[in-house]
Amino acid sequence: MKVVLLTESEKESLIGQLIQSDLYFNPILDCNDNWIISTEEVNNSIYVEHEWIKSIPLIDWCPPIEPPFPPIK
Amino acid sequence: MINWGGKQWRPGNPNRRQPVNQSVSELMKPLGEKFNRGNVWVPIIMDVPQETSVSNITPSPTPTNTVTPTNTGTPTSTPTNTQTPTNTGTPTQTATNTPTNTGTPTSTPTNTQTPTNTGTPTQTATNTPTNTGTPTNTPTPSSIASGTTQAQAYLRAVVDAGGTGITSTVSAATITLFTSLVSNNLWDKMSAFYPMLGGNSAGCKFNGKNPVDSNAAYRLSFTGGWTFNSSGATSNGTNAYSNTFFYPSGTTLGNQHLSVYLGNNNAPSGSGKAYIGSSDSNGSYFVIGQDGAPEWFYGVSTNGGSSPGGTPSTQGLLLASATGSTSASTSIALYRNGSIVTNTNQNSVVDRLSVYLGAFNNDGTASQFYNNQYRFSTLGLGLTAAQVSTLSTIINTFQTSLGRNTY
Repeated sequence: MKVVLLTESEKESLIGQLIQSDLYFNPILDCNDNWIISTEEVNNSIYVEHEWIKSIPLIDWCPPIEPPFPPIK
Repeated sequence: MINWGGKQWRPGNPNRRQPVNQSVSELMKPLGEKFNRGNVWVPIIMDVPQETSVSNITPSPTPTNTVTPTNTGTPTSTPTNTQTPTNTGTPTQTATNTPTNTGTPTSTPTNTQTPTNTGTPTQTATNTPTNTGTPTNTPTPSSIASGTTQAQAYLRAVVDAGGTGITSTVSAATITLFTSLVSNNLWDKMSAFYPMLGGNSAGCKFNGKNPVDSNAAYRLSFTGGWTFNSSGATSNGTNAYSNTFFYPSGTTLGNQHLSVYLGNNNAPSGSGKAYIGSSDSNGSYFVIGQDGAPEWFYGVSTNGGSSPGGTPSTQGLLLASATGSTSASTSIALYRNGSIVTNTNQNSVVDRLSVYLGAFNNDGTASQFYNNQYRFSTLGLGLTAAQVSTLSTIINTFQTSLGRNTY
């Protein structure tokens, strides 16, 4: 599976921004501490100011190490 | 014989020529006495008939017309309406009629139109008490008894927000859903339920119980990699989740439930996955998911419970409910498609975090992202096994009508 690699500043510029009505970007870290967004977010994006995310290179998805579930308190 | 200073007529300039013998009666005589002695009052008297025409005016029908202005007085009462608690326009009208009648008789004293207006203020007082009766309108909730009005409000919210695909079939199925929840006494058990209609985030976000676009109304806030279509909302299992803004701590410990209706069987091994829920740092869980084995993991303000029953089957309606005391060993149960899967006992600590869909709220951070298609979800008060069975049937009937049922 592919995801979209973001720089730190690109990540910052997307936080709190709308992909489309009532749907927000959610940059997260992968297993290598890279900031990424999903291809679904790119495909759903409808606003001109975010057109630039459609030309960003894709990388393979490496899931972060999830905390145990159920979480250990 | 009156002597006007030696003249027989009254002088034109009395300041210079004062009559010798003045009397009131003489002074009142007109100057014309000079030219028409003894008959000066005749023309005046003869004018009387002309005044008769004045009496024609007397038939104060004209003033009656002036009654029309009384209407002008009515607008004066309009501001009175403004004082009225916007709710009751109807009662205000009733009051307005009364004073109008009162005004009519008052118009008789043609001249006294003004006083008629004075009567208007009296109306004001009359209006006030009328408003007091307004609370009688409160019974409007009677419409809640059917659920039809609520269904229409929900559908309107979906459409107005930009949702699509609300056909007559979908509308009918939705009305049946709502009325069934009401008639089976499940409506009041719901704090929130999400029919996932509209084919996009704008439509799917609405809580059927309270279709208002606000966090307080438990409207969903979608974040990350979601996709939408007429079957519901699909999370990508990478970074997609949705905040319900429903806090379990807002309900009573031992009287809570949560559920999701999922479109696919997807229970990956490796790490845990949360289908819906939250986890509080106080050790409490409000969740339905799986651990990495994978095995069921669920909790309703509990320390959680695992079922040794092997791989979970996630397709269909998954519901966890807490009913009864904290000491009852079977006070919390996990159901699938209306039938019990497993149960556990209950913790005494209520979860204080808002519930997420597509992941769980891990003490403030979304984690354990899960990939599936969300076709329905509910949050609210605890349900008995019988109520769970009924709810399962109602929701699946709804899904069947939309062609997206799984059982």
